[in-house]
Amino acid sequence: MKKLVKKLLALGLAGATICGVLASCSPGADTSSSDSGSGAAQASQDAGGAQGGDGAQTAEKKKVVLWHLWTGAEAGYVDEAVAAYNAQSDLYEVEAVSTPDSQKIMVAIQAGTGPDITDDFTNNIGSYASKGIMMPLDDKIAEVGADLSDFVPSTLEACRYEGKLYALPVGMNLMALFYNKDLLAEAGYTEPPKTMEELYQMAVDTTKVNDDGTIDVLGFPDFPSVYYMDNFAAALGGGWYDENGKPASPDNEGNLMALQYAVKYREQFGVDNVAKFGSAGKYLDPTDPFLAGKETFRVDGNWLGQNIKELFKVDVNYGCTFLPYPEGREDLAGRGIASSSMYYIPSNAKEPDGAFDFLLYIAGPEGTMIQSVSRGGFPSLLSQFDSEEFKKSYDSDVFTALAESPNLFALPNVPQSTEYATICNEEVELALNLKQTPEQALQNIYERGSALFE
Amino acid sequence: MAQKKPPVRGKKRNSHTAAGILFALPWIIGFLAFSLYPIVMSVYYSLTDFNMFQAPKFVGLENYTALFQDEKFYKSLWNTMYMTVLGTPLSLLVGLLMALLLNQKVRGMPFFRTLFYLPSVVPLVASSMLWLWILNPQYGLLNQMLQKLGLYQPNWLTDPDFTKPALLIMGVWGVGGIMIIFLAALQDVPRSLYEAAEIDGAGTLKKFVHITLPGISPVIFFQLIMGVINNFQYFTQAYLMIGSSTGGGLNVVSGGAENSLLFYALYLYQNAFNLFKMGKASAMAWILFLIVALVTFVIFKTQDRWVSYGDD
Repeated sequence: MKKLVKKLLALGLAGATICGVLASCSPGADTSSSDSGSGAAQASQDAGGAQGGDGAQTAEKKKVVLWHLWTGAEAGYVDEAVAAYNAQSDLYEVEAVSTPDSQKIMVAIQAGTGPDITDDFTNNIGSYASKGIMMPLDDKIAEVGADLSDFVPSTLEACRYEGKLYALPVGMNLMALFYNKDLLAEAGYTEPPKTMEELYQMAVDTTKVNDDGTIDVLGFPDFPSVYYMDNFAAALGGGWYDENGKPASPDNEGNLMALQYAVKYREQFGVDNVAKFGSAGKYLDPTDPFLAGKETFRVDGNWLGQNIKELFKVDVNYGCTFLPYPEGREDLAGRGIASSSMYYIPSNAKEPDGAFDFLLYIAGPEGTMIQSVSRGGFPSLLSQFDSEEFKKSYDSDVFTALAESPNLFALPNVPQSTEYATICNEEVELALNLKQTPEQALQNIYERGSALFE
Repeated sequence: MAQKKPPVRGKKRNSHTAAGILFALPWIIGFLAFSLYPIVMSVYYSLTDFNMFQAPKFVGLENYTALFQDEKFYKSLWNTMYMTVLGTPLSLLVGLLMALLLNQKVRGMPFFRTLFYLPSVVPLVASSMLWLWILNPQYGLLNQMLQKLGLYQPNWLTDPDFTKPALLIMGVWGVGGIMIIFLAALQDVPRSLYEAAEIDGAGTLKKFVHITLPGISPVIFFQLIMGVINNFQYFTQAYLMIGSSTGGGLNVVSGGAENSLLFYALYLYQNAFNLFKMGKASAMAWILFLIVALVTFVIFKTQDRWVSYGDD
């Protein structure tokens, strides 16, 4: 009898595993996100309430729930835009909640307890729209006769999937090469590199190594590692997709060149040393090596200058220019990926009309100015390119030139984008750790990617 | 003369049953709605192509066959087995050693017991963040100590050979819960047995092997089962470490350095919530259930050989 009870207990414990795993994995139970997320959400709610000014919701206004991914100062900008909307809207009252966990938002939407409107990045549109997560906007836009001609065409195009519009952009995300002028000057350089060959030589010349071989100053733009490959491959004429939105050929010269140079730098200074340097600091944090003056080159977005000067207030003597092109290929200057932040309405939103009204506001001139452009963001509206607020923002001249570059392109919106990006990261990582050659990595990406797209 | 019990009349018995059911009803409803229904639905979902937003499409055993052809599934199994096979005995061993030390009669023992138990009341997220600093390859406390000793300083966070050992070290720091249960068990071993053994001339080691270990074997057995189940569900620390090692704050679907931290529960999570493959994730949950049930059954089968309940 006792043994039977024990066996039942054991099976019960094992059975609890199923519930345990699902519970421990669910974003609600994931302490990393729920603890910080809910705390931030509460803080933001408090801040939103305070900034909203009115505090209590006006009885006759319908409530629209906005969950956004921003935290800290950026969440404050969203709150300001929301407060401005609430002050001018007679019909709707938007309640903003900072929810910096996209999985949490997804699960809530699926459970029917999600927001009426939320935000994300355009590279997820293919995945979300193909699964029915997002509400198509074409009918609503036609209904109110909204004029979309002021949007930068490529940003609006990035919000479409299979011909339908699923979101509206709020600010463009462009990537450029940032460089530490002092570190370059120490090595005798007065101008930033134009070609990849020049960049590599400068990277080697400015790298400083400690006695034990570890790296004190990283010359190559290897941090954060996730930014390097996609953007340099694009700048050098490559990219992970071909013109049909399918995996790029393994012979793609731009991809091969970008990977070969990263591997070459690691071979020269030691894989372990470069990896140690990379994992010692955290992106946009006081330990960030570029902010600490310990990184010569950095591939980053139009938000970096604002972060350096306004948020972290560090004294880094930096410059900003286009990413380099291969020697003799001036025609590729200004080649890069354009993506955007965007807002969308979940397909099961309880207040879709209110959400759409707010969407038009937040993506319109006033909303984007408050949330993005006056805070160093790059406009997604053509009319804001000449605004004083944008001209005052850091590095706006370089990013404006980049936005006008004929070589700028948007990634295709495909349902497999997340999985394909994971495959690319995994194979590139093996090459960077010298576990396979760059050629093998690109071949594997092509084979695994092709199988995925089939 | 034995008295006959008055028979309970049918009506009264029925009302007792009804009252019993009524009192148990909240639990019954909760169990049906929040346990049984999701479990049954997860069986169904494991046989479907389901992304949580569109109607499930029945695909038979396709999710299971796809998993058995998925290299990352085996990688996640290997990583999880590594943590289970090495992490469980290591935690038990360190927990037992600490309990033995804290079972000595020394002045200020309550202080030491509190001190050693303290790490296990620190929330997992907070302790993980703390350890990410200790394990920082360039500025971390651990590598600075190793440097002073002239030893190799591993890249704990991004070298695939060292990421799991780093988690094992983190795990050992938090064995306070295991230690406290062992401590209670040690204090439950009858003193008379030690006294009798001492009279027979038994030394410390013999007393430990022949009295202490058998005396606490039911507790070792319990902790072993719980440890195995917990390690099969290893998630939070790996999730945080990956977030840190990928540059921090960037939304990347990753299993850590060369997928060395892709534990089973993490891969299940990625399938469910990053890739929206709830059917595949449900299939993974059921495979894990079968594995855990099998391992638990095997451990139970061995208990006759080494677990002593005293009254058997």
